[in-house]
Amino acid sequence: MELRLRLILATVIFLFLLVIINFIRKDDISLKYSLIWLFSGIVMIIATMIPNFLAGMSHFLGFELVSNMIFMIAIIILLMICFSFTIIVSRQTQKIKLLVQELSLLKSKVEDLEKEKK
Amino acid sequence: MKKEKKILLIIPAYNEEKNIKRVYQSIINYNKKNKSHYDLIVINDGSTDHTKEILEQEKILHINLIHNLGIGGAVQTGYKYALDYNYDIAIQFDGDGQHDVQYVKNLIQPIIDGQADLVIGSRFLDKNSSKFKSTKIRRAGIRWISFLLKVFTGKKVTDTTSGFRAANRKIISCFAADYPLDSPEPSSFVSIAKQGYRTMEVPVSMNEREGGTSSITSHFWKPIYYMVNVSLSIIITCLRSRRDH
Repeated sequence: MELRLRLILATVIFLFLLVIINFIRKDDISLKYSLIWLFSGIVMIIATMIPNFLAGMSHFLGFELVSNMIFMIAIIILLMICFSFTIIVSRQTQKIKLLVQELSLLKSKVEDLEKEKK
Repeated sequence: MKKEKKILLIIPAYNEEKNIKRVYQSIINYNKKNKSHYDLIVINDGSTDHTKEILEQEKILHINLIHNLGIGGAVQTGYKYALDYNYDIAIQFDGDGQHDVQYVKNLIQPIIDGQADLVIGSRFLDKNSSKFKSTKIRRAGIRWISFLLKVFTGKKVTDTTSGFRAANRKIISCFAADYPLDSPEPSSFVSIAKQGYRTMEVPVSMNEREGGTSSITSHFWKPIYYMVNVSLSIIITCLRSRRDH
């Protein structure tokens, strides 16, 4: 890969990392769910900064084009991240259901008690 | 004489402003006429119409869910309430006027006699029992679910989607702890049957809904989604409870 392209890619990924860190700093995303993004960002920077790393690796794995390997790895990682979101969403659905039910039961009890008082 | 059982009708209601008062009245009238003591609790599942106002106006005992949960979440809230207030028998009773309070007696009899833990009211058990048998395509769907239940639990259920069911204390605490959100009737049946509880069907008659729309047929893709969902959830519930034991 040409040096110019590598520098551009590294800069973009670096900015991406800065944005994530800023979000974590402001407590807009929790550290737990951002680790995967931080980790993949750092791996991407390292991969672009080492000369001939990507080309060597794709040759070693038997890809005809470097881009094919990158696309495949990217798709696999994105699928994994998507899947982990499905798990998180499902867990949260359960939690929200429990919260709505218990809160509603409690609310109706409190309202009944208040009516009795009056 | 035996101590009288505490009986609760759980009535889930989502946008039932047209029906809920009539359903309530029918139960009150039945109680008066037959000197029965069926308590009832309406679970208002975050209705967007005037269901809430009607419930308050008519002083009907109810719980307002602070957000819409769907039929499964609403019914489970009812079971939690039943558990909280020590009811012996809880009956799911639709808020749209499909179910007839006269059949509650038949539904709870096997539980009082100690013959069953969960009793399902079926439209199809007795050929002449119900005027309303649903449409052809729905019956085909019900037969398919019935087949799946037979394969996976070994039990015969004729009216698989019936939401007219009575549960004793053991089942109440099961349902309060764990109740599915989607297609709750067939999958909760699988989990109960797998845990070795006794189930039974009794013939009932149901009316065609008089107002509002069914939750399943509002969009053309919903019945398809429902069937896929039900089939999968029966299989998965079966696998899940096998692992637990």
